[in-house]
Amino acid sequence: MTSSLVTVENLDKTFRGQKVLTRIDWAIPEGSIYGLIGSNGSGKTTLCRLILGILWPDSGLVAVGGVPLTLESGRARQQMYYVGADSRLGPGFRIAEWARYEELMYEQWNAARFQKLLKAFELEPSQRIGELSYGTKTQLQIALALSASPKLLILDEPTNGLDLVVKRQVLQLILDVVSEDHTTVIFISHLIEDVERLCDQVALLHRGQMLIDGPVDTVKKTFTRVQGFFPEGATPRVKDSLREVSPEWSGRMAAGVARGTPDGLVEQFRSAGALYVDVVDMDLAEVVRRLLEAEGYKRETFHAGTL
Amino acid sequence: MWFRVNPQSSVPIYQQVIQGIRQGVAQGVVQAGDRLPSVRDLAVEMTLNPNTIAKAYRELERQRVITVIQGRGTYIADLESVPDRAQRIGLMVEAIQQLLVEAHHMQMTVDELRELFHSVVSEWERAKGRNDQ
Amino acid sequence: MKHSMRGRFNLNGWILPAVRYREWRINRSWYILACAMLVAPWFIQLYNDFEVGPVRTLIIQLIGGYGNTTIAASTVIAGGLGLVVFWYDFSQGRLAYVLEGAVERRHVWWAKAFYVSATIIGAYVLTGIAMEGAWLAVGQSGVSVTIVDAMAYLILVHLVIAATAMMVVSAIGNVIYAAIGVVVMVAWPTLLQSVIEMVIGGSANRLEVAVQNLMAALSPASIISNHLSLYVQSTPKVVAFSRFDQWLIALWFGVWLGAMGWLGQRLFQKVLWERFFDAFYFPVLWNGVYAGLALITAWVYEAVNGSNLVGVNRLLLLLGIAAPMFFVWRWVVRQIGRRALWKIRSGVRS
Repeated sequence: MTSSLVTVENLDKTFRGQKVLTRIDWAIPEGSIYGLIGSNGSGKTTLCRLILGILWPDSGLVAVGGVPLTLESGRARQQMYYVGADSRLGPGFRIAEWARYEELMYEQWNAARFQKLLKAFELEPSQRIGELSYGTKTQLQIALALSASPKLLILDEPTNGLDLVVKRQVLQLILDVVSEDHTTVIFISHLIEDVERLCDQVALLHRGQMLIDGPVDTVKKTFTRVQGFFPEGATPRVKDSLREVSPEWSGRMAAGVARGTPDGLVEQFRSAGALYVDVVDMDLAEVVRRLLEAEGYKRETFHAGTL
Repeated sequence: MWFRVNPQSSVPIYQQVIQGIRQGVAQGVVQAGDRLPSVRDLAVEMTLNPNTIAKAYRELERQRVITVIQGRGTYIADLESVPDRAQRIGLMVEAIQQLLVEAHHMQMTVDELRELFHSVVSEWERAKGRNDQ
Repeated sequence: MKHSMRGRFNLNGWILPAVRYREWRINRSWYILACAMLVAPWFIQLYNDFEVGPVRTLIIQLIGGYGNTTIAASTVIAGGLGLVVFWYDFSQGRLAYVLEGAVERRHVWWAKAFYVSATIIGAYVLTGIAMEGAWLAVGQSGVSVTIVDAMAYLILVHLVIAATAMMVVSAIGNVIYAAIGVVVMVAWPTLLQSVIEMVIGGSANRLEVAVQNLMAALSPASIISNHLSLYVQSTPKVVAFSRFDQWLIALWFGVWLGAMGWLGQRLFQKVLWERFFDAFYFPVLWNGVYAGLALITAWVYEAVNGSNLVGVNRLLLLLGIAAPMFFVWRWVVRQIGRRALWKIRSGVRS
């Protein structure tokens, strides 16, 4: 197992008396692409700003590259780049001027890469940042972020406001640089499909608490669906013996969800008279939905795939 | 790439990549000695996590489907005697039994299933013939 | 890990080239404008004194009576510059988000201090050279020491005012509150003087004169208006600087300047990031608002009720009314603060 680039220990953060993050423990393995998902207001951006060292925790510790962050943590930020909706780009600057600023700032600035990315995004150095559309500004931010060659790239909903073609291009350019530099990435998205595609690790924040975190394939195994075929259907006798499971019936098939190992549930289905029993893995969206439901999170508009 | 990956499937993505490449070899889309894209190129092309592709390639190398020549690239390996042949035949037997159960529940006869099997095989060979040309 | 931290990336330094580049780019209009506004009246004065060319009348007509209010104006310009370089950077330069980069707050503060100082020093060095040149051109060399003295004082006093403004705006986000804060900070000797006057009564005794002189010496505003305004109205020869113990005053303003620089940087470093979106970066400063409102209330009450008390009794009455009003205002403001309307401004995404 590789070592952790970022370690978060027992972190608490309050905004004017309101708890935003509660006892967060988190480790980001070096070289991983870590998906961070959670509903609006769950504390994702706050957690990232704490890792950047611009927000300070009430208690707890954040360490980057083994070094704990202090009041002024510019040195740690040499290795980190954050791309978010509230961009730092000055509207009055021209693209070339802002690039000059970042070139002066980042020791590992890759000027050739920046030129290549500008061309790929069809951006003109003389354009004024204030005149760019939201999507174009996002592309510029990503071009800057990738050119700064950070060790940790924090992408806070990077594909918001991009059309499908541009989004694919943006993700591909990110992946290209990330595979070349072996960059560690925190990828915040409410699109679970993107997280499944791009991330090898995933964490779920809900109301300031980390519900689950770890490798995607492990997280997917948190829940398993157990399906049993009952030849005589949902008879009162079968229903009675599956009382604790409260399965969903579709025809003669009963389906239940097990947290952790499915063995117990399989046994219950068998003893209730199932002809055969299947254990099926769940996709990430389903796992997330189950976890949130267990926390009492329900919304009319909720459907698998997005948060 | 000749195969697609469905991230929402419950099958882990690296396994889908393994399956896709093995299928390509079996269908003759790629042949022994053909060069595969690098981990980086494949990750970019399919917009997938490079670590996932690397894991799939490692597993494929272990299964002797591909060979990695340091500094030159990744190639489809020559087909050679498969080490765990007996065990894998066992798995195929299980899969066939599963088919029989499925057929039963669909009220198919064994003959109908056999017919279906033959038609799928000939479709497969026709496709493979096209790839070989 | 390749991590050399040398040259322009050396974060241990005070001035980071990247930060300085951005500071100039974002606020350059303000620096140039402030410099021009500080310099302009002196050059108009020179035109006046030496009748250079026919454009003179036109310029004087254009600028109008600006020259007469120069001293008050230059004080406002110096204070305003200290405020605006932060305020504009937060609103147009997205300064809070800029801190996400590989910079430290210290660097941001000192980059601003660097350009503010350069603006003020530059303006008066330019003025000094022009005046020396003009006087030398007409063959009067005896005034040069006076000019150097005057310019040195102007630089020091304006630096004090600008640094005070930068200190205040490092703790207060609302530009109106900040402006009030700067006025209070710069005018505190005068305020203190009027309080003392109130206590010792209206009689012009020796104590009162002593207090008045001390407070005038302590106040940057009165130093300028009492002793430098003559420059604008007349020629440098008229000014008699030797009346003052120059070095002592210079030392006093030097200490003030140093304290503001240190305190301003420390405050700016200690602000919780999420507070950058609030009126006050430190909630404790709300007490200043309550106190101000309480004093105004008490003063209005006294005025309306025509109190004929004098001296200490009057002061005690004022404080006696202000003290409970402090808590009343505190309660009122907090009630307003609880309403949702207020909270829209706290634009921190979580």
